[in-house]
Amino acid sequence: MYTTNAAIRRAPASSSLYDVMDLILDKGLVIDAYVRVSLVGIEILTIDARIVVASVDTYLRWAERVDRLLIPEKRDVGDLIGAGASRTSRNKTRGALKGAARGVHDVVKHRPRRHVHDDGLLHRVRQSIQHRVGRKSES
Amino acid sequence: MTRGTDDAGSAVGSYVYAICSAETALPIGAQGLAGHLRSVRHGDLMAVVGDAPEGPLRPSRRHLVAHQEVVAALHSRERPALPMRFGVVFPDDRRVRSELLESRGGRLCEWLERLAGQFELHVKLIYDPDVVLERALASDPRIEELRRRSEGIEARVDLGERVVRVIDRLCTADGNQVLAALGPHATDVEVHSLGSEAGPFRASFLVSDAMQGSFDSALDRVGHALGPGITVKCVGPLPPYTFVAELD
Repeated sequence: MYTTNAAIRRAPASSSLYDVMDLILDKGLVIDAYVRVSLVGIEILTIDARIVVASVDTYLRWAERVDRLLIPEKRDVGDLIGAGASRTSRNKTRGALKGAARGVHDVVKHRPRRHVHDDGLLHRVRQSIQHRVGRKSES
Repeated sequence: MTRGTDDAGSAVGSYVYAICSAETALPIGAQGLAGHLRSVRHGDLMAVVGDAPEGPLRPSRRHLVAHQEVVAALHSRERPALPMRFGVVFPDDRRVRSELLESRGGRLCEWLERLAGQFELHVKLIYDPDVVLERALASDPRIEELRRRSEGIEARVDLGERVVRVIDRLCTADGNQVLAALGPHATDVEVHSLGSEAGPFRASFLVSDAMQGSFDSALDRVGHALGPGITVKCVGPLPPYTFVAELD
């Protein structure tokens, strides 16, 4: 089933702002004091709480993908998120699990409707997160 | 676009784009974030500045593009530019001269010399999720076993977590392979992610004009060696954002 061929893509910087955004924001010459004054910050805590949910969601989607690959008749599960975007945030997740525990409940409550596959899943995901967060905190 | 002269005053602050040698010409056609571009000079050094935008300075698409365009237009093989990070604003041009060019001039001149004739290439790996999953299944039979008894949300999460862990291992191996292949053809390298910490492999390579050909060939070779389902994306040439640092 290995159908895609290896590919090398060369892109001038002007065509891929997305790829160089991190460099423009995080690299380059800086004098510390001035950046603090001039750059508008992002609320890190809010982001971390969202990442926890994203992570459990990611795991579930990968599990679904395994099903889809191994059991062909289940192929209509719906579109899955790409590997890159979801995995980027995952590792921070582990660190965030503990700290963000309190925020998780609210975030889950506000998850977009399209994530709710059946009426019981949201509840079960929420329980699972709380369970796992609790388990992490003990260790 | 209009070219400014040295030391225009500004109520909103002086946004700094890059530092380059005093002989560098201001770019034609590159719009800054706001107002005209102008130069602030001291000895052999020149800072390219413009007015900061009114109101809060947000990393919006428009602002990021404007910043990148000015810096990219300033950086050339003959005359390197030291790119500033997005968002550096001084109170006025006089302070740009005294606090940047005068007091930190030694470091800046050293960097300009070291980076002459070099540019940055940003290399990343992009995966086809199905192909990487097949590799994971092939390399870890326990995934199939977990799937067979993956009833219940906890078991599902465990299955997915296992998959992600195996994929991380595979991606890290790919990252190391790319690093080993390209490293010898670069002057310097900084790895942003090896394959698991922050997603698939991403690294910046500092490449000299003389090494460009061999770097390119190595890129082709490793791209094919990696096999199917993996795209090697190489963005650049870029101004050397990653190879300048914080000034104390």
